[in-house]
Amino acid sequence: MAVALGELLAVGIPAAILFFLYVRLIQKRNAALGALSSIDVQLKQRRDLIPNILAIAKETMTREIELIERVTELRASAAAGANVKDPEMLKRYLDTEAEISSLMQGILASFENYPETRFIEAMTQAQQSYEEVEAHISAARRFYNASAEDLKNAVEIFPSSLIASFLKIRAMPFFEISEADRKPVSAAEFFAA
Amino acid sequence: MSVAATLSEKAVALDARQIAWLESLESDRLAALKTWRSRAILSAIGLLSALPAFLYFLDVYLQVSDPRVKFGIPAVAAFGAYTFAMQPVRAFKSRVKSRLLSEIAGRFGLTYTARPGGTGLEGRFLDVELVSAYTSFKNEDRFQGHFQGIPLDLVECHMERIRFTGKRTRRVTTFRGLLARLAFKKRFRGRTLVTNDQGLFNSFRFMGGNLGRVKLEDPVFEGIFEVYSTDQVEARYLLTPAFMERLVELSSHFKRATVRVAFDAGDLLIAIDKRKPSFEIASIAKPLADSPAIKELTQELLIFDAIVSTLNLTQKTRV
Repeated sequence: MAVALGELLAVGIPAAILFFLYVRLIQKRNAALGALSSIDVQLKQRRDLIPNILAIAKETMTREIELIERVTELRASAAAGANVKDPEMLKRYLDTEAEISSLMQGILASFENYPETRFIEAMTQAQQSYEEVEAHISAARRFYNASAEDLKNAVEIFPSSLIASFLKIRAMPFFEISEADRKPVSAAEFFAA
Repeated sequence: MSVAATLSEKAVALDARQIAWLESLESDRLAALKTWRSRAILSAIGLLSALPAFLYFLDVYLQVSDPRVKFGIPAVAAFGAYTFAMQPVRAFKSRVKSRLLSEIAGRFGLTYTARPGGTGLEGRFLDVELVSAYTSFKNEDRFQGHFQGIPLDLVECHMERIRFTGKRTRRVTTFRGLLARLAFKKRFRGRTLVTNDQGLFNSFRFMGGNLGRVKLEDPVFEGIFEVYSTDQVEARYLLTPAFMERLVELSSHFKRATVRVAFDAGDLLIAIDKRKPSFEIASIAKPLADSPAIKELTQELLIFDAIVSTLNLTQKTRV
């Protein structure tokens, strides 16, 4: 009886630990996927707002045509979405969205160079909605990054890393800011125009 | 100190008319102190002469040996004598305080009520779990109106709970401090609670409820506060890195108090548990016109600046 109990414990305890690690890992992956979907919801809202802003921009801006066309192009490619199980594809998708964000900031900033436009009120309203959505995206991105960091730790740190590699669970990419956003703001550029 | 705080510092300073009024109260102040002194002496003499006779009467004629009666009655008598002696000072302090707070609050665009009764804030703060359960409360010093364009309602509240230990019941203070409700410029739908860090007990708080723990990036903020919310994304939308820094700053402004915050139904609710009374004149021992106690009282009104300016509530910023 004592031997049977000892055997039971010898098998049961490691099995319980493995099961616990497995559950934690799946929970973390699901949390990261959940956070990613919350970004997606916000990004979709932004994609819905962009055409309005671009329509006003096309009517008003003469010097930023290239910028507007690039955003239209990126928006179309981002609308296709990404396979969340493929980290490379997901990273490309997130990079595209980061680039849209950066270019849109450029368009909104350039709009101030056209004070004579008759679309000021419409643009201001669109800009406010856009900024609110951007603030939500930023919040969703922070939530996603926190969840992705949790998952990355679980995937890379022993012993859960063993289970992760067995189940082929991979870390998810962080939503990073674009290269353009990393650049320091130059006050001289604003005064040059 | 911010520019706004400096401006408010000037705003809470007494003007020439108020100083003249305080100077005109000098004879009233001295009269209140004189009455207090004579009442205190009278009470002490009364107690010292009557109590031994009363205790002797209890012991010999009524043969009462219960210590609760023997010590309880003198304690009640002493409390009564103290209240009787202090009454003129309290009445004088209350008169001065009401007028000064009312006038200075008026400069900020706020209305002041000395004894507001129930304000509805107590129930709301209990609902959002910013204060714990209470059996009775007492409100004092309510300020309402728009401060720097922000709708604001602030009240001093003392909440107590009756605890039963065996046959004894005692009143325990569950909250003593300020409850403030301010309009928040960002739109939100859920509820986010920023409460004080409880170390190991954090995991057990709000277990099973609809509030989930929100882990944020700022280690200083996380060392002071714990955040729970019905919406993880919305919590981060409200608590931007800059806003987290401002909450840390606000918390350090109230050094010995516990600051708890909730975002609920478009409002920012702030509970500042100081465990001591606010907006009181500590002493009338010195002439009022240049009394440190009066300065302390008026300086306490800088709390509006501390909240609105520190938290930058006038701006609807992305950060």
